Amino acid sequence: MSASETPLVDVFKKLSLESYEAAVHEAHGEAGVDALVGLLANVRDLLTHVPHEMLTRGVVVIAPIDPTATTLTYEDGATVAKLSELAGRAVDALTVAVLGVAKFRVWLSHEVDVVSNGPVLIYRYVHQVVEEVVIDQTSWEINDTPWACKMAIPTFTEVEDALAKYVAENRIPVQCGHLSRTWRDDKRLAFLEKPEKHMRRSLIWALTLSVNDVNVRPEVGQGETKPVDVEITWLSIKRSAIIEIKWLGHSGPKDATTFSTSYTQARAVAGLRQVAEYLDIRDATDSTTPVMGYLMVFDARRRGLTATQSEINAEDGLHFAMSDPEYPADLINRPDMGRPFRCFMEPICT
Amino acid sequence: VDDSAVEDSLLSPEESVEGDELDFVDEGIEHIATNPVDDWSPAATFDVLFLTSALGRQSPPSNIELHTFAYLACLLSVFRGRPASEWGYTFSAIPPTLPFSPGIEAALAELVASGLIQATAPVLDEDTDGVMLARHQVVDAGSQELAVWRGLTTFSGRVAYLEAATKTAVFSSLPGVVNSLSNEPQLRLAMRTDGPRMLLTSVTSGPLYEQFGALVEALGPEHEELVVPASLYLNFLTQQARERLDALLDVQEDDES
Repeated sequence: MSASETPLVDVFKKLSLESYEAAVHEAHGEAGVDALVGLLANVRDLLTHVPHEMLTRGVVVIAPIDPTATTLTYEDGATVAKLSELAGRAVDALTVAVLGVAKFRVWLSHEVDVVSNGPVLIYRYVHQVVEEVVIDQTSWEINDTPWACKMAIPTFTEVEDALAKYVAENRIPVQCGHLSRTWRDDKRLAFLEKPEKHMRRSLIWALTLSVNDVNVRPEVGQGETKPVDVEITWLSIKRSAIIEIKWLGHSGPKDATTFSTSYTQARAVAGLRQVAEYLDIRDATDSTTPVMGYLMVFDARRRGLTATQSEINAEDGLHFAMSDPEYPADLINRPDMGRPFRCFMEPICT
Repeated sequence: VDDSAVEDSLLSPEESVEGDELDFVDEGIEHIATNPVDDWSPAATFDVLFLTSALGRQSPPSNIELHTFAYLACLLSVFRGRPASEWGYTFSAIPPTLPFSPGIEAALAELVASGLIQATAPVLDEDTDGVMLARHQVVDAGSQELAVWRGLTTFSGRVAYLEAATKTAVFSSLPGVVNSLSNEPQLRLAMRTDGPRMLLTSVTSGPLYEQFGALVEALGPEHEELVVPASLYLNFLTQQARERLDALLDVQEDDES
């Protein structure tokens, strides 16, 4: 039975069981929910001053559910009134204990022994490893997004900035569950068959969370042409952007001795031409809505790769890392064509 | 189309004209809000000041986000069994702006004009896709005013709904909430039909009531606070959108093969 056929009550019950917000309410009532919201607000504030990408050993933030009734015991550390006081430090490990309003105890370590005489909530983030909230010794993984850190999802007013950040974050594609499902092997050498739908899910979800004042949806297609992959509609004005997704490299079933599909840079050029043709059709059918076109290329080209290969060295694996396709000038110079993006997804090299 | 015609179309759903007759829609909301004083509502003024202050701790909101979070707060009052007609101002879907409240737009203009809210001017970048809306922040005088207003009995009953709505953003992001809520049945229908329509009318609210009824049953009628139901409802809308996306991708994949 699909979720859509499940009675609504059961759908909500399942969502509730999977929700750490509901779990904290179940354990600690309204005070627990308030403490959770307060904890996450402090985490968001902290991560605007301390880049999450640096936290490779991790950050731990501890907050009592009832600060007036709970005492935290610890050694050393420093007290700060604002988390902005931590800005500018190059730290890979950090522990913050929330002592009250505008009162935090801070250590430049992720392994601090903080003892509590009452219930606490804990947030923990280790870059590219884990992002979790701990409620009564139970860990809740909280990041179900394509972005590295859910509490530090970047927001943008321009689509191009969001796409550039998405490309940068997925150079080493370990966070996004959708992109993880595209790989044929655990070294990220080649894709499984038809990886495009996972890429589309990933990009739609990422843009949904990070671009201000727009609605992000799959384009459902008009007329006889194949629909483009993503459509972005501005909520303030009649204006849209479309994104076509293409992938480069090899794909095929696991354990097959040959690849079923291989795409070179010609595929990217064809994708850009497809965007241009679509822009022409849109202009002819609705000239009142300006549309910008973009191409997003997921690039997993590896030099000399064979279907039976299980490892790759850095020279071959990263050969195409800095190798943009050459696009025709008549396409790239169109006023309604945004710059093409290429997300080179690095393999795990020997 | 002048402003009075716009107001009539918002307040009299039975007399609403079709989208192709409303050429003001093509211009976007900034153009239909140039003389919004007739839409002034004390409740909307309080809500805008409250929402701008609360959301500003995470990210200074645009007017689009203020409309959305005000609508979410209104939905939460409906969830608690309060008639939407008692909310104090109306909401419509006027694509591309979903949802849109003339009361919120008027209140924001008034608060900016009176200096209680500061609007950061947008920077347009014509070379790319630049469509940047002003972001808003409450200044010190606005915070002082808000502290007084939230103690008034006129407004104190609204605080729980507004607080719960803004707290949902801490679990996601402001754009995340805007996109999730766009899957609310009435907003989704408006998006698909691309025509203006009144929201939360007795005719249009049926699917919403059905969803809220199931949510109450799932949590239990004794559930006392609003953040968890608000967050679960947004998660539900997001899940529905993902399922529709999966179904669409499967169909398109079949078409290609």
